[in-house]
Amino acid sequence: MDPDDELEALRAQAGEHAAQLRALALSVDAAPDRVDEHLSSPAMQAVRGLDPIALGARRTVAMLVELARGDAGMVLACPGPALAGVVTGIIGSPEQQERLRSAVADGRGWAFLAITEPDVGSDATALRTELRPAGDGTFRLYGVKRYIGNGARARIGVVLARTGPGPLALRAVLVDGASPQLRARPLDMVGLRGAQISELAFDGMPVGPQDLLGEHLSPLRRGMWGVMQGFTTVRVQIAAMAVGTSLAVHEYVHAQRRGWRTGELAVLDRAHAEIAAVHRLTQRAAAAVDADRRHTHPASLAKLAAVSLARTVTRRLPRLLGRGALLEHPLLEKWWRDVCAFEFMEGTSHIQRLHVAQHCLKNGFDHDN
Amino acid sequence: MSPALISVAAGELRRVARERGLAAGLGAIIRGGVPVPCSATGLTLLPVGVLGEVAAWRLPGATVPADRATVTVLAHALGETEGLTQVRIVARGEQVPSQRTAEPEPDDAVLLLASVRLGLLEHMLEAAVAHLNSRIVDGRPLTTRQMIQAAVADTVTVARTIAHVLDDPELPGGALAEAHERLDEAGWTVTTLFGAGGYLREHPVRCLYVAGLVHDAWHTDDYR
Ligand SMILES: Cc1cc2nc3c(=O)[nH]c(=O)nc-3n(C[C@H](O)[C@H](O)[C@H](O)COP(=O)(O)OP(=O)(O)OC[C@H]3O[C@@H](n4cnc5c(N)ncnc54)[C@H](O)[C@@H]3O)c2cc1C
Repeated sequence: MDPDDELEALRAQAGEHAAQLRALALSVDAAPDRVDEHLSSPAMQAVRGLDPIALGARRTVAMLVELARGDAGMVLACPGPALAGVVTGIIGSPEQQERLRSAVADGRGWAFLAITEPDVGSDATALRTELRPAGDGTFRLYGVKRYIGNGARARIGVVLARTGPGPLALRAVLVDGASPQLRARPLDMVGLRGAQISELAFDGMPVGPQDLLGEHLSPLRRGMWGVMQGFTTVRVQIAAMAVGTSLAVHEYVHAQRRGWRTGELAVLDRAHAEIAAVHRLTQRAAAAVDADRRHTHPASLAKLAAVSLARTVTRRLPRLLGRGALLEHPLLEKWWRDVCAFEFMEGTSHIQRLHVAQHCLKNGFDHDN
Repeated sequence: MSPALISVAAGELRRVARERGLAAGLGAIIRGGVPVPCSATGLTLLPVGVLGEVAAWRLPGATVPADRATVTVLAHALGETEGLTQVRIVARGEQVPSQRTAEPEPDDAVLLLASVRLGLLEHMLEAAVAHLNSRIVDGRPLTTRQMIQAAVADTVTVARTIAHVLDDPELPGGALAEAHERLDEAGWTVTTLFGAGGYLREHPVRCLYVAGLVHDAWHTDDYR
């Protein structure tokens, strides 16, 4: 199939599920712990099946924009391998990939990727969670992870921890979500509540050689390297969800009235042109990720632009509907809260700025790309 | 309210909000007899416990005295974290139309709300700096990073400028709308300084999210 036709077909396929995701969005936002009541919905099952590594970034972005046009909070509430699947897909062995896949295969299981800690966020290389040698070739996992998507309800997950000092001692391990040495609690967040952000405390969880990701890779590639590649992949996904949410807000506001005044239409048109531009930027970043995942800056740039866009659109367009639009239209209020989360996921805007600037200062500007 | 009174109230509200928070600041506005703005269908946000002290409601284009309105209290999950409640106002009997002017008159409430938002911004900026001082990366506090210092400087500059904007007794509606816009943006800059911790509902910086919602519920239409 022609690549453009293929992307169009994927968009159409995803678009079919968007309405259903949106229909569930407010109830999952109000009660994220009751999401399992909706798991049999075809839309949630379709999102679950989305495999960003197998699909590649361009196809994933095409689908995610459409799904987030339904509701991004619902996309992140769906079961499936999620971020753990991305990292395991990059540095896991075929057996580990299969272990993750089968843990969530019944369509009712979640997975997590745990990196952030209470005292360590942006600088993941400084994380403190420890893999202490048990003396028999195995380890015990100790530490606390915080702000972990779907953490408290996951059956399985990937944890980044250290076996000693220095960045090369960082290792990703596949862990069992039901382990008695894991205490998990959901956190009450402002938005994107479907993702059930959680805190996880590991108190001596046994970790064997079969749980260590990247054993088949060189020491340079098995830890932070693989996770960084995963970040690049996921960064364009966040940009795609920010674009999708911006489109959702635009369409929603536009549909509320027939008789727009000229000045108001100009505001809507300007917003649409900006959304379309950032959409193209995100597609371009996705193509760059497909070409080489080691190039982080196009994804950083797209995320920087998309997060800022989504903030502006969710704040300003509802005002066209008059005073109190965020009270009158709970979905607009929800999206206004949700897009703030994108700022923090896979690196804050300051961190993306550093990536973009460092790339340009080192490699020049390459203005045509 | 006279411009002189508004200017006295502005300084006081800024201090109340800085020291006692959003609900205290809004409560002081409402106790001052300022009508509470509502959406076209009568929705608005206000602190729990001040309903009995509301003098009047401002629906777009009309003022409804409190004794001529039926009030229904509704839930609002985020508003409640800051001690606010959502209400729906339905006017009984005839309404008093508001004066129509070439440029819509900003409600006094929106002007005073800017002072409350300013006080909250100042308080949260101090809290953010304290937080980043204790967050050590590569052996030094995050406050030593120049990007963080730029964010702090920009926020202080916006705050000081807006304090003077709000000093103007003849402030045009468009300038007030612009001040709220800058408060929104500076508030977001400060919110991001707390990292994901600031995205917890229990985190004090939620006051800036909720103040943004109150602005949405109170702002004067047609300032676009
Ligand atoms: C909805 C949501 C979902 C999430 N999901 C996950 C997940 O599934 N797994 C996971 O591991 N984590 C997850 N996170 C956490 C996220 O990755 C972190 O919030 C992020 O890395 C930032 O870390 P922090 O919150 O500790 O902020 P900090 O790193 O403490 O940053 C605080 C402030 O300092 C700034 N800053 C930090 N370092 C620098 C610097 N060097 N120069 C200039 N400024 C700097 C930041 O930009 C920010 O403004 C999630 C967060 C949210 C909100």
